[in-house]
Amino acid sequence: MRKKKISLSGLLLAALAALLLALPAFAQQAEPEETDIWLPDELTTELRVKAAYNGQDILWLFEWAAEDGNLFHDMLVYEDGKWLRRGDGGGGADEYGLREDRVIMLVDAGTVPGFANQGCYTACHDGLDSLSNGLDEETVKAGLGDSWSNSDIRKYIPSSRQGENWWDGAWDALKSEDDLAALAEAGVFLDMWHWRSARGNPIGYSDDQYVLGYRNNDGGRTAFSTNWNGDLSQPNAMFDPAQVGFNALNWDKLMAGDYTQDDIYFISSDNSAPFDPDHAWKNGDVIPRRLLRMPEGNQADITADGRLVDGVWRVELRRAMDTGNHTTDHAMTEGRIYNVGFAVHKDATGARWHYISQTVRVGIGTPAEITAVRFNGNTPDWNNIPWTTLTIFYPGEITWEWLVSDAHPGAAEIRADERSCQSCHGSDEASIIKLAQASVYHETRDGRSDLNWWLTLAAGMILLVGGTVVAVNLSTGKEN
Amino acid sequence: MQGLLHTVLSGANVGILVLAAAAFALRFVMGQRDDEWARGADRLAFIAASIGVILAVFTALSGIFGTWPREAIRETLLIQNKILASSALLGAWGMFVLLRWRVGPSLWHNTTLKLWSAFLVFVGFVNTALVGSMGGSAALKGSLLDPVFWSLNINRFTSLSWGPAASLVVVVVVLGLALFTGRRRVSG
Repeated sequence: MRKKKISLSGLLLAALAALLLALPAFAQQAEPEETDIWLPDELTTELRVKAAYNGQDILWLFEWAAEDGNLFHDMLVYEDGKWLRRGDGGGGADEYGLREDRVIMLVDAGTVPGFANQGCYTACHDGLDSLSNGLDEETVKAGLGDSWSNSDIRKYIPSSRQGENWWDGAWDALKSEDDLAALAEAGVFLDMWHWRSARGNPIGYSDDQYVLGYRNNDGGRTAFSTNWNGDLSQPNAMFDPAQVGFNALNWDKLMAGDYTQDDIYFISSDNSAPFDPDHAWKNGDVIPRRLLRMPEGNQADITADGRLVDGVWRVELRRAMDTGNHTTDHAMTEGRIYNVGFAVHKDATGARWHYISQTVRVGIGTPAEITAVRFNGNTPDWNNIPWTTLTIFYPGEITWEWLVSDAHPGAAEIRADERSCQSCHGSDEASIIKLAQASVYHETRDGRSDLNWWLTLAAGMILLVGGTVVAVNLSTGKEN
Repeated sequence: MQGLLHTVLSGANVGILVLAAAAFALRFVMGQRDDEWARGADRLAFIAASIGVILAVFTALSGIFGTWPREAIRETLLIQNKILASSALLGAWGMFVLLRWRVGPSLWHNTTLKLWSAFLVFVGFVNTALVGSMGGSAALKGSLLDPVFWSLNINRFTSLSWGPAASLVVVVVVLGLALFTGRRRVSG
């Protein structure tokens, strides 16, 4: 009889324990398909900046630490008869480390509402590509019509949208082409300098873009094209063995980080040959999926010289102070002050996983947070020009729509365009770290009901306390 | 300063609870022994767990008051998950201390209570590790357990709370068992 009681006790205890152990299976992950969370190891980093001009050209010099500085982006790897794409994006850092480093400047000539105070945030909106609430192509087409030539929405400024107020235009309330053209004529756009370590730097150029209704390329031909034939599932071009001595790079050497800027590591129209499908390709052969070419037209406005030395990128950009393209570039005029937002991509990240600065005032020959210094001749003596060190931070998924919403305590001042981020949050390093932490908290929260959380907490406590009561009840009179 | 206090208290807390778990495990494998070593391990487990529970309360408070922005507690899933695991830690270790305090060393001579205590210590220990790991993630320093979470496909940045149905089942089953066994105990 006693033996039977012990068996029942054991059974009940085992059932309770099994229930507790099985409960994680019921744990509901909060709609993970709606979040795309990846956080960098460091929330802030430093960007050092210098600027100089000679009346004809303006030059910028950047330095930032990039321990895993990346020369590659978007590659094709031969594996068992197929060319597989590696480094094609996804959330956060690329698993193969094949996403290029970048430095970006958004320049405002004092014409874009909101930018002087909120900087890059004026260009970051709900629904943008790579945000957790990023819109799919079908939604974008439904909202913007078939005339919209892109499959997504990217950076845009509030002025490009029609709203009740200057700050509240919805993503799909795009102004007419005539209105956008009028804004561009009036200089209401952000001039975007976009240096890429793989798609431009190897041949000495930087992308020249501008932000208005979208992140647009300036006119002309870009410095890179896509090296892929979708119909044949093979590259269009390979390295020209007659020139460089090989047909492809090597995957193992690539992953070991053995290629340097002194090697032939990029493919261009100058060192390539038409792809030969009959070549004896072997596993581990690698061909870049981006073919570099000399840019043309306005795309050739910005020249670049970037060197990665001992884990530090040092990048010099040069452009005419006035390119003559007044609807896509802001002329940099001596004596004027511009609002500039800086951004850096490092550690094989793309899209929104970058570091940004608060708005920085740049004076061309006039005192400001960064002062461009006049020099004579063709090349400045950078040693005589002081660095300005900026603490740049991970902005998470803070968007313009959230900043002007009632959820943000500073929304009223932003709507009135009368208060900057730093006037509330501070601009010293500790304040910027806190701002980045707040961005992370914002990114990792969701709208899940608090009720579930409290229910889980209560049920868990009842389980532990109730289980102990059950154990005590079952144990009575069973001392061995 | 509060962040530093939380870090210091967390370290001490994890250390003392690991000691308690080790002492408990040692006593557990000794079985029916009742010598100096067994009594020493029992006392060490009890005292270390008691200190650990008291420390855990202060560690949790320092964590709550050291969190910035404060809304993160309400709005950040990682922090919410950390609070859930901390509650499980406190509940499990607290119940063990209470049980050992009420029953005394004779706990080791009762198979049911011994097994349940082992279960409480196991849950407490696992959640101690979980809370520490989530703390590392919250501070963006990473954790030695990260590869384990990745391999189990557990995302600590999304909510790990149960749905209402699971909570209801837990409450009904546990209360039902408590009532059932209580009646058996009275009638027996």
